[in-house]
Amino acid sequence: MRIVTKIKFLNLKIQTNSLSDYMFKKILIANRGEIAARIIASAQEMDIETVSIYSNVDEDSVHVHAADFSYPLGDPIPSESYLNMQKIIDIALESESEAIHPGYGFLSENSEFAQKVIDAGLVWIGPTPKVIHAVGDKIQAKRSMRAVGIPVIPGYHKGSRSKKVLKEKAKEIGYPLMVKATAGGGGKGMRIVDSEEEFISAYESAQREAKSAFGVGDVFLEKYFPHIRHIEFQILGDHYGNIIHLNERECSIQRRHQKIIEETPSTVLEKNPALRKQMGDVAIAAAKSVNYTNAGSVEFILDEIENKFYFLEINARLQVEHAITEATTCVDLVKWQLRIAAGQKLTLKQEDVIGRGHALEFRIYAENPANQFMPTAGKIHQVQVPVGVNIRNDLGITSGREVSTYYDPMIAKLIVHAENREEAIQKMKWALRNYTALGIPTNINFLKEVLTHKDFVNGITHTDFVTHHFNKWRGGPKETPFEVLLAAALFETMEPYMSTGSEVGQLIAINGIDINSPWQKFGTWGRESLDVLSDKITGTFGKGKAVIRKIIPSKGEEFHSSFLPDSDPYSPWKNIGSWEHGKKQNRKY
Amino acid sequence: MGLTMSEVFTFHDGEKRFEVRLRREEDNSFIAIITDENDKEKEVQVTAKVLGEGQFQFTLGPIIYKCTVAKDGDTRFIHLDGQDYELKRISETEEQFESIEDDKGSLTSPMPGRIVKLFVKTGDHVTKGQELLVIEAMKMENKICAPYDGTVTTVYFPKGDQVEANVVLMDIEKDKEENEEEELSEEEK
Repeated sequence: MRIVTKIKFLNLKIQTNSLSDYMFKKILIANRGEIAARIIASAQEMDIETVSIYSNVDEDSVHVHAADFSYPLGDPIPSESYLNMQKIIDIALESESEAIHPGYGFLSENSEFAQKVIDAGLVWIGPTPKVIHAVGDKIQAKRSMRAVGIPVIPGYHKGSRSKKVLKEKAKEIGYPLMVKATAGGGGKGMRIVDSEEEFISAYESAQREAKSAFGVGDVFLEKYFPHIRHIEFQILGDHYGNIIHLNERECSIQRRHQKIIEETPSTVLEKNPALRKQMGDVAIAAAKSVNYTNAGSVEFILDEIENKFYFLEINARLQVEHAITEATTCVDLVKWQLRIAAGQKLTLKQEDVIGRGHALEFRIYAENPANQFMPTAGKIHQVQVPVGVNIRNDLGITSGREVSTYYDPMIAKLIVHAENREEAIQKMKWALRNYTALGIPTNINFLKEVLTHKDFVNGITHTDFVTHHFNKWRGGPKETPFEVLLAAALFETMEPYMSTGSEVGQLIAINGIDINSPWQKFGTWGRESLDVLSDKITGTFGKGKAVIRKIIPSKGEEFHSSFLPDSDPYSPWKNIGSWEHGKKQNRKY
Repeated sequence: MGLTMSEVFTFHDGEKRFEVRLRREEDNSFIAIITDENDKEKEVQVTAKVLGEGQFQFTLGPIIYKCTVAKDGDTRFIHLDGQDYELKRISETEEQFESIEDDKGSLTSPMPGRIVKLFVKTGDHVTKGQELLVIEAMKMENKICAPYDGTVTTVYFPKGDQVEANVVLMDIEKDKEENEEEELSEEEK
C-alpha cells in the first residue's frame, strides 16, 4: 500500500517538473527471452533491481537467470501468461516494482494495459496510453498524419466489415493491393492480393489471423508497392516536449512481411543526405503531431522509382532492431526509456546524435527457409555464439533449451558494427560462420547466402528481395563434403563417450582425454589450457572437490588448478561466483 | 588386422546416400572409407577426440577440425568449418520402411500447430499445389498444399485439432505414372 502512494506522488511530481533526477529502484519486465534479458542488463547497469516473469515452459529461460527476482505465471498459453494483464500487474505490486517495461510484442502496444498499469499506481515505461491508442489504430494514425500534411499510402482506410464495400474499394485502388489488420504488426494479418478473384479468401484469412494474434479482426486496404525500401527513424521523446530522432534504419530484407535483416545507415540515404534530412524532419513532425513520448519509430516506405516516400506507421515501442542504432550512435535506448519514464529530461540533443560506421542485424529464427519459412520447434542442443570486436549477441536461447510453439520463433539476434558497410558484411560473414545453433532447422544457412548475394553486397535491397532472389531456395550447401560424412560417422562412434552420466569405467575416452573432466566444459579458457598441455593428465574427481595436476612440458613446471577456492589465482571463476550470489540471495518468493 | 573392429554408418543428405566405414587402428586412429551412391570411394586416416557433449575435434593431416553435432531422432545437425549441414542416419530396416510408406503417399505435418481450415475430404481428387488445409502455429497461418495430383484416401484429423510435427495428416493416392519422371527432374533443378 505504501508503495502505491509513493508512485502516485511520483506521477504528480513528473508533471510538475521538479523531480527530474528520479530513478526507479525496481522494475518488472513484462516479457521473455532475449528482449527481457536485454532490458534487465541496462536496468542492472543503472542499479535498478529487476523482476522477471515466466510461464511454465520458461522456467530456465535466459531472462529468468538474468533477473534479480522471478515470479511464475503458470500456464504457457500467451493469454494466460505474458498477455495476462491482471496477473502481471498483481506480480508487479506484490514484488514492489515501481514500473513495468513491456519490451516488444505481447502487451507492448496495448493501451488498455498501459492504462491499467498507471491505474494500479505503477509507471508505464513507454508512450502514454493515449499515444499508443492514437498510433496503434493504423487507420486513425493515417488520418491524423494526412491532416498535418504527411504523405500516406493511397488506400481505403475505413474499417468496413462489408465484403461488398471492401471489394468495391479494392477495385478503385487497383491491384496489387494489401489487406492489413488495423491492430498489431510483425507481418501478421497481412495479405497481398494480386487480382479480384483472390480478394475474398485473402480478406478472410487476414481477418482470421488478426483476430487470433491481436483479438481484433478489422482490416483496411492499401495500394501495394512490390519494389520499395522500408526505412524507419528511431525517435525519443520526453515529457517536456523534446523529441529527437536517432537516424534511420533500413529494414527492406523481409520474409512473410517480417524483417529479417536490418542495417543502419541506409545505403540509399547515404547517397542522398537531403532526402535523409527531409525524412528525419517528417519523422519528428509525425511524432510531435501525436505528442509522442518515450522510444518509438516512424516507419516509411521509399519508392525509388517515383522518388517518393510515404508514412507507414509509428511503432509505439522499442523495436527488435534497436540494437543497430545503439551500435552506431552509442546511445543505450533502454536507459533513455527508463530515464524518460522516471520523469527525467531528454538531455540528448539532435546535434549530439552522430552515427558512426555501419551496423547490421541478422535475426536468427527457428524456421525452415527451404519450406516457406515454416516455424520449427524442438530442443536446441548446441548453442555457441561468435565473440569478437563489435559483435553483439542478444540471445533468447541456451544449449539444451526447448524452443516452444507458444511464442515467436525468433531465438536470437546477431549484431555487428564496423567502420563501413563492406567491413560490416565481412564481419557478419565471419560471425555467421562461427555461429552454432543445432538441433532444429534455423535460418542461419539462408542468412549466409543472403549476405553474399551480389545485390545485397551492392546495397540493392528492396522488400521483394527474398521472394525475388530466394523463392526457390532449397537450402544449404549443395554438395556434402566428405569431411562432413566423416564427422557424422565419428560422432556416431564417439557419442557414447560424450554423455555426462557415463560410468566410471567409461570415463577415459579417445586419445586419453577424460571426457568427464570439468575442463571440457570450461569453454575457451579450459580448452586453451588443454591445448598447451601434453596428453598427460592425471586427476582425481569426487564430491565436488577435484584437483587436476597438469604438466606443461615446455616449461617443465607444475600447473595447479582445482575447484578449491584460492588455489588458482588466475582462474576467471574467482571473479564471478559470489557476486552473482549476492544479488540472488535477496530473492523473495 | 585380425582383431580390429569396423563399423558401417549410412547417411542421406537429401540427394545422395553415403556409407562410411570406420575401422579403429591399434594407435587409436581411424581408417575411414567413405562411399557414395556411385561407388566413388575415399579413404582417409583420422584421429579424433571428444571435447564435450556433441563436440569433438578430428585431425586430417595438417587440418584440425572442430565439429559440433546435435541429434534429433535420425536427423544429425552438423556444424563444421563454418557451415551447417543436415544428414539423416539410415539403418537397413528403416530404408525398407521408408520405401513402403512412399508408395502409400502420406502427407505429414511440417510443424506442430492447430488445423484451422480443412478444404478436402476423403474421396476428393486434388491437383498438385492445391490448398488442402491450413495449420496455425505461432500465430501464423501456414498453407499445406498437395505435393502431387491424386485422390485423398484418408483424412486423419478434423478441423480444430492440435497436431504434432511429422504426424500423418492425410493419405493421398498418387495418380498413375504419366508425369512422374518429369516432376522428379523438375524438383532436382
